[in-house]
Amino acid sequence: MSRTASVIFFLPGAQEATSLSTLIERLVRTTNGNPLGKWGLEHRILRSTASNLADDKTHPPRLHHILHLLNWPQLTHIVISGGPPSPNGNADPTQALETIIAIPYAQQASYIQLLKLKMGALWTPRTVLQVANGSAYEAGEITIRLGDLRQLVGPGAHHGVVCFLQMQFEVPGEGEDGLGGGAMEVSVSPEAVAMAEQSAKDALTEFWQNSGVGGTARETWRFSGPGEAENGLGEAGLWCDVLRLRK
Amino acid sequence: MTSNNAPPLNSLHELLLFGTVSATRQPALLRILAGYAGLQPHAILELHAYFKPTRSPTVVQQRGGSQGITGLKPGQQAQAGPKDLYFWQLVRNVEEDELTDAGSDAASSGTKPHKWQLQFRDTPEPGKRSAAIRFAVNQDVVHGDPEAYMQAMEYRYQSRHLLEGHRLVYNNVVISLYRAFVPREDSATALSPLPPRSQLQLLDPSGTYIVEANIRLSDRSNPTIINTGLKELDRLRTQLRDIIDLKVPDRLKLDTRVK
Repeated sequence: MSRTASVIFFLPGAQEATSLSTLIERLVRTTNGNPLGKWGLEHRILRSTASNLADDKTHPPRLHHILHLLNWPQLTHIVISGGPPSPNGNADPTQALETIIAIPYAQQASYIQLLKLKMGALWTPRTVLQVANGSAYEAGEITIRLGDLRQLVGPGAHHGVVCFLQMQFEVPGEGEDGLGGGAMEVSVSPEAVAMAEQSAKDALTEFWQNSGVGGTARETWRFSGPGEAENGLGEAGLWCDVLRLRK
Repeated sequence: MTSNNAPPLNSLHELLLFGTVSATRQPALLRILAGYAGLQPHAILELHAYFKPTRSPTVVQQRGGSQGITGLKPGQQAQAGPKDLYFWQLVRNVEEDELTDAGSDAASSGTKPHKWQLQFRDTPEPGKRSAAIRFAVNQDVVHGDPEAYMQAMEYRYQSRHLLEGHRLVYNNVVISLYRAFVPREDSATALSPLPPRSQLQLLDPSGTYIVEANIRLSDRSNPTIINTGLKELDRLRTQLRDIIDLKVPDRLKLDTRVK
């Protein structure tokens, strides 16, 4: 049973098309990447409004992301990060709360209209970001998606270049027990999972360093458990972590 | 991938007429409607779970120009208010065997994934028309936990009921005949297994069926489309006038705003 390691490298403020084309050229040349076609994303973010409850002032605002990834063409992912305060006020402030669902992409426009027209008391629209002419490649076991990140309206339209890397990996011993084709799953220790995740992280980091991209990139990592990558929820959560930018 | 490639907006408004029919006359009405439609009615069994916002809306009252402005910091704009908050529903289809004793026990022991739909229904718009018109949105939850989503949206579960009946389509009109059942004892969460039928009771003890005639509008801003829909509902009302009185509902009885 495969797990997934994903990382997004964000090169903020990179000069537009020159950096992206350079990045693509280097990646393809050094990794012998096979093109998978066009890629892109559209991301909208809303912020929770202030509550009139006195104790709500201790909690940071929540963010409501609406994300469409072109590699999940039939889906739009909704990510709400921050979570509500717990009724007894004992929520761990260090724990990032995140709820993710997916709706059909065909229903995205009506969802946005619903938030805009009827949920204004709870959510305020902020920014709309887009990768319009991105590209996807495959280099061995690693999938690469990259593009220019732009804000659709307002000043500072070009934010930088984003590069997404993903690979699948396995934890030794995880999965079916292999004894006569039984269906019993074998669980593995957290230490074994951590070691496998570190190996995957090392592999992706080495790939990035060998790509010759250079520059200072912010990296955000996420690891998905067995089968969790099938519906894009983990990948959507990772993108929303990056695309919240300056919150 | 640009906004030009965004999917078209689904129809977000609907025209409505409502009526009631007694349990004894419901089979006859169903046969007549099936005759008009040329189709057998489709049985419906749906769970509707209601959610209410956990907090009050932020209200900023504008008490005149100068008082409103002096209270603002430089660069800050006065907010429009007040803003309403609304009830939401999570809806899913129910299999008949979930309502048996065995089905209920089986559901308690395991988690069967169900396909849920978020449904938002606004209060019908004011104004004199031959049918009510309201903003209505359905969102299918394809992946993820819909109840966790509602909690993250700061909504808490209120109650649930079962709608049982039939639905059929006659030209552009979706006609539903249904009754509501409520559990004798309410559950703590929307996703709790349903009790068996013996633990459900009719919301209206008389057993009367609600009849709902509904047309979705492709464009609320197009008067021609609205008038076409209104005329079609008028024709349906005339055709059925000897059997059922389809009326414009009292909009405040369909008010979904939180007070």
